[in-house]
Amino acid sequence: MQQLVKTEEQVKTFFQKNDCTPTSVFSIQKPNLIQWLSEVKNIHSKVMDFFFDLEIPLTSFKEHQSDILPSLFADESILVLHDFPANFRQEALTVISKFSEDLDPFVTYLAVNYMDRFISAQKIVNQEKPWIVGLVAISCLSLSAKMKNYDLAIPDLQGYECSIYDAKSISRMEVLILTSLKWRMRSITPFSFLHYFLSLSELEDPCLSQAIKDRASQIIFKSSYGIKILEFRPSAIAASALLLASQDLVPLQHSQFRAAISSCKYLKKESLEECLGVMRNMASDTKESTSVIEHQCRSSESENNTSIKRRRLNGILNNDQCVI
Amino acid sequence: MEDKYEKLEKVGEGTYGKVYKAKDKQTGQLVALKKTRLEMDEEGIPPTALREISLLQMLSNSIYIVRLICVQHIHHNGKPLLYLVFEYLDTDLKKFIDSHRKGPNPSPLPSSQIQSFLFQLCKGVAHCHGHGVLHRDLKPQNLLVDKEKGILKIADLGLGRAFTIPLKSYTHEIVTLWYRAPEVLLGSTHYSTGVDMWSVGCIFAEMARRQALFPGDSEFQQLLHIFRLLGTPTEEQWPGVSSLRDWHVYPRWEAQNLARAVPSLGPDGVDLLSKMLQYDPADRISAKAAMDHPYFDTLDKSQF
Repeated sequence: MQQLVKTEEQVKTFFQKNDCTPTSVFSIQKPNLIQWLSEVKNIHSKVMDFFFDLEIPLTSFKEHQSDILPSLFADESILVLHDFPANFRQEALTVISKFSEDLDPFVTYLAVNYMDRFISAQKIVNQEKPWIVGLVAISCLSLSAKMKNYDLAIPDLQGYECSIYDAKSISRMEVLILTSLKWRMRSITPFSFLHYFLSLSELEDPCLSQAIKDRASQIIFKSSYGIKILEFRPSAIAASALLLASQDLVPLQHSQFRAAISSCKYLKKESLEECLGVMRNMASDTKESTSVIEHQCRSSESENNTSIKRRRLNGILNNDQCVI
Repeated sequence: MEDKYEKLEKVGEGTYGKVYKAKDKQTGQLVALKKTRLEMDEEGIPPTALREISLLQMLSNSIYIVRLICVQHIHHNGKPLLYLVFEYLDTDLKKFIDSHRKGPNPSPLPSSQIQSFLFQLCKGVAHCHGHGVLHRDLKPQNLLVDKEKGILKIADLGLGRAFTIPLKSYTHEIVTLWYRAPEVLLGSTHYSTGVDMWSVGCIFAEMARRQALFPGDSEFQQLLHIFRLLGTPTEEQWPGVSSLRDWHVYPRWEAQNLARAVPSLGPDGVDLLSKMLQYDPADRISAKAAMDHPYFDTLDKSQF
């Protein structure tokens, strides 16, 4: 508990020291961008740790690991992908990514998770009206922001030039989503498993472990936009992301780490290999990717942060979301 | 709401609202309906309610936690309200203990019953703590009992976090202090899982004694009850105690023999109790470690 508090303070200090907020980070000049982005990702992963208990059991409490883990693996699930409305999802992702640029990536990630579960449970079809797509996407973002205690008021989310996204509609859609997801908003995500799998690596250097975890988190964020990844369990995604990260960062220990993860009794080996393949393709295929991070790169290259809000609204309006 | 459930009777005033026993009209299943006062506003579902209810939802997969069956969102007089629908159990540990003390044939709780209830309580508490959740208001009234099956489940979880530990319930009934840990009474703001283990210790003793161990009627009296039995805490025993916000100079009492307060408990039981009632929260036994204590050696753990 103490440690978590310290982490938050560290984040605060970082912001004060560097006199920056995530938004202003994105307004800086291009040459520093890569460096800044990696800093920002570090902050985000720390913020994420601090709020970890909102999404998942605290598997980092060693004493409880043996109790919680089996139920975590038993409770994780994959979506029913039969008749999954891929176009609806793609359009909703476009809406979410418009808002995600100045958000904690975990808020975005959770919103996508809620949306995927909602459209799978509700048997939504591709032919839904465009404004429904927007409303679902925005309500999922609103819910995930609330779960993460992230200050994102509905007025920020609604296009007030567009009457369909009034507070009442968003509120009603929130209830619909909550009911549909049975209020199970503490999703078991790949992040629930990172700590456990990382503990199998026997890496002694905490900085190195953290770096691998950060890299794996980025890979998970990036992969969440791809529809293929929905075929895999969160644990397989976590294990694959860590393996990809370790391959880059600690190539010498990679095979040992891989052996340790592969021998985990809860993981299906074939599924892990398959997931690893899909993620590897995603990582290499930059053209196809429309990840949040890249979206953030693009927007920060072309615009400064003062126009973000304006652009958000325009984005919504320009994207035909309000055509009824 | 009225379509789906038939309200049978008011079974209590929970800390956060009225609780009704009701029947699912379709299935006949008995449920406990809790109306929350968490009303919706312009911003939709309040974030605290969202986080708390999803927490309940997450924790209720343990059979030692009262199961949240569903959440009903209804409009009442134009106002949106949330009803939480829980599984119904016929009694709670307070009534259960009372029935052994006051009933027509008063008799101590069988020691195997105490052992079994305590184990289930530790199991439920370990489940909460393993998920990073403190209960913070454990007391016999919050532990529901299925007499037939001999099952004990933790109730009234979660919502506490949205409101911090309440001093008064919404009906202005004073919330009991009897199970409150000394660090909370002394104004510590950085408390942890130890607060629940202190309550578990008090509940353990109460099952053995059939009356509360520390029945204080104010925060000050509560501390004096504790100090008179366990001795006034010292800096050696509990580093930092005299720097706590509400610490005063108290009379210096010596610790009494704990076994005398719980004569029906054997040495293993007294040992476990003393580990739950350690002053320094860091020294207090965890729920998980308690489950491995020799006191439970004679219990058939495979049934849980």
